Amino acid sequence: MKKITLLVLIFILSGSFAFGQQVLLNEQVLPDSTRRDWGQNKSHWMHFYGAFGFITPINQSTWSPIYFGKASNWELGLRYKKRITNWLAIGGNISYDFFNYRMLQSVDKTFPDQQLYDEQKVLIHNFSMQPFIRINYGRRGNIIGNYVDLGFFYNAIMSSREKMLGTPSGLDKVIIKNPSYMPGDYYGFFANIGFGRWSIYAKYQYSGIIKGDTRYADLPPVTIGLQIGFF
Amino acid sequence: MIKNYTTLLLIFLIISFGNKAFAQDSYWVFFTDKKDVQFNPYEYFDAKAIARRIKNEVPLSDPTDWPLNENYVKAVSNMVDSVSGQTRWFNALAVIANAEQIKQIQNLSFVKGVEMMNYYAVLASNKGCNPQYNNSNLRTRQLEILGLNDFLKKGINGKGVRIAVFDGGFPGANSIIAFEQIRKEQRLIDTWDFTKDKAFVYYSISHGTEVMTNIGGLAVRDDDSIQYGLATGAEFLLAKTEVKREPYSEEKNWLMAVEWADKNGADIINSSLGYTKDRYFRSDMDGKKSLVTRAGNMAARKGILVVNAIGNDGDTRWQTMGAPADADSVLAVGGIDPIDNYHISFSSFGPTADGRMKPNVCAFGSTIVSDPNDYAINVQGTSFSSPLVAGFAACALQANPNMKVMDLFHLIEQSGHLYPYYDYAHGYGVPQAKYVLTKQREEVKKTFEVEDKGLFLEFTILDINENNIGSSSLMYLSIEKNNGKLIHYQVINVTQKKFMVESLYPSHWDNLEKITIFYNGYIKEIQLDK
Repeated sequence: MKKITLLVLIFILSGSFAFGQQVLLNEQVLPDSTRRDWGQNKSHWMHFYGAFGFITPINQSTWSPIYFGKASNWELGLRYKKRITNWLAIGGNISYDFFNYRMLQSVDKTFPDQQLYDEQKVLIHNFSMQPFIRINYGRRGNIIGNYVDLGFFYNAIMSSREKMLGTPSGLDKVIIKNPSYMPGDYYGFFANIGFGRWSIYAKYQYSGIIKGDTRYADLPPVTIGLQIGFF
Repeated sequence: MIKNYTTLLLIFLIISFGNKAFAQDSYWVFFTDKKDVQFNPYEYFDAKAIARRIKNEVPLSDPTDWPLNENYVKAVSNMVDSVSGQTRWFNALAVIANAEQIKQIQNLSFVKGVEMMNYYAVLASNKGCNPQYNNSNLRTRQLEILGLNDFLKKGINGKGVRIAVFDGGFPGANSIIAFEQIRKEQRLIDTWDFTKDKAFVYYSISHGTEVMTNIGGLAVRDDDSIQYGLATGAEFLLAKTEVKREPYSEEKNWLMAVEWADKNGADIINSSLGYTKDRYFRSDMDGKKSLVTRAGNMAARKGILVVNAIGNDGDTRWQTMGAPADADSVLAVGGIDPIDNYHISFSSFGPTADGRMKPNVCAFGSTIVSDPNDYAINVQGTSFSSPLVAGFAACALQANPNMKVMDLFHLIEQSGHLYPYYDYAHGYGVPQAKYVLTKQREEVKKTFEVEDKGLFLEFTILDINENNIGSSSLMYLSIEKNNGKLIHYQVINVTQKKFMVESLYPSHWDNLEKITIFYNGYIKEIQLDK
């Protein structure tokens, strides 16, 4: 077994090894290296990305009130893009998409309940799938360039929590796992305005999250944030 | 308050996108012909440009030199917001216009086509200095490796040769000691700032000043003199074509500068920039795609040698050259490391997208220059390899005054210390003054023996000197396919008398022609009958 390992090791090392001499430069000229399909503005491109944004409290009388600046969204995903023309591409993201709804503690709140706490959060962990079309603008070479993405997202809720700190009953912390008002999934639309690796994104939860339960005003649907592509 | 904030954010997004989407762009408007124009070459060209054309058998009244048809220019000018320049060579007008205006222009009967301009250039320079380098030692070596002493013995210093330098700015070029001789002898012929359309170029980034010192800088203080470049007797034309140190500028300036250099009698152009990924794909580096590449070739057709840095993308994802270094008639210069004398990591690699060898030659990629404050400083980048070779070319031209431009181009290639061996990191190697002066190569004795043992090549070094260090210990190996293109190459450091090199190709590679090995001047080819 040890001999085999040694032989394999020698074989791997010998790829660019002059016995007793030091290889200073070892370049292989790939015949297709200048015409590969993979690249930022080539036929296929894939990269990881990360995003952070804030859930925006648009019209707090219609939607459940939240703390702006503390209600946030994190996302880590993998993006694939297929170039159709120099200005048009289609693609898809799969991602882990996390929402932290930090609920405003006001006397007229109805969701998730009417009680007041020191702190109350609704946390949703999603597996997200996001097909999109991309419109590029500005002439460019093999770079991402400037673009607008318009897409649809489908979020499958992997788990959710309702978390309360400083409850009226005197408990320091109460956590409700997968609360009953939380659906299995929801969907909506999103847009990215991108400049190279950076983009500004906006998501709109069209289906609503707890829309089925009419006792509650739904969670605010709009999230706006910043995204960075890792490439 | 929150509502206001959201509204502001939305307005910001709309404005950001709106600006990008509807902004005006720069375009080239190409005309179909030059009907009814008048041209007198003796009025238009400098006497030196006329002489160069005669020597290179270029017609004095070539349609590419004729001015643009004024009626066409006027008609298009009236349809756009502004006109930013023109090119006689390509019969085109540079305009700033929106999409609607361009649509109308395209419908004009005398308009052949419209092309959006590239804005992005990268100066192939300044990766920072390396504290390992001893300044005065490096300054001497950067010239000696090219054969400074051979030129000095013959009194060759580029005298009478006119060099145009395209760069981002020349602060101090009108005051530093390194150019005092040039100013005294009135060898600074003309200057033009293409970014602001005025003559003053002694401002902005110091890159051009530093590059120029590596062409012909000579600082004489009391009894001491410090030489930075080989062509200390040359004449200069300075063109500011770039706006910032990096990365943004316009191809338009380069194109207009090359015509200006032609008109003003330049024999050689040094250009230390390249247009890369911001517009082009690697597959566009084929010697045909970019306008500056075509302009580089056109300059050669008009008798000008264009020396261009290969670029500093060897250690980036782009890896290859930037236009116009891909032009077949542009002498692309790569960089080597002064410490170990082989490829410096950042120097871009060839070949071109269509498989032609680039770089053509190489020189030190880390050099000593004079900055605008008269300090000798260490700089890095193929930006500085290029002017060293431009200075060399000026000396070669002085030594061979009747030589046509492409003969000069090939002479410089043939003078490379590796010639006829080549690879895509070094080209033919470092040009040697001795060869351009004598056109004779010293007889080289056999320095090694090699035996093909199937899986291995077994080497026996015949002249091994255990104290050998630096270039003399470097062995270069390449594998060529039967289409004449290299598929693999190596540089190895020889430290033993007998050694083996593992076969350079996997068994599944087809159509292999030969292995070529270079060691201390001796070249051996092994034919492969696969």
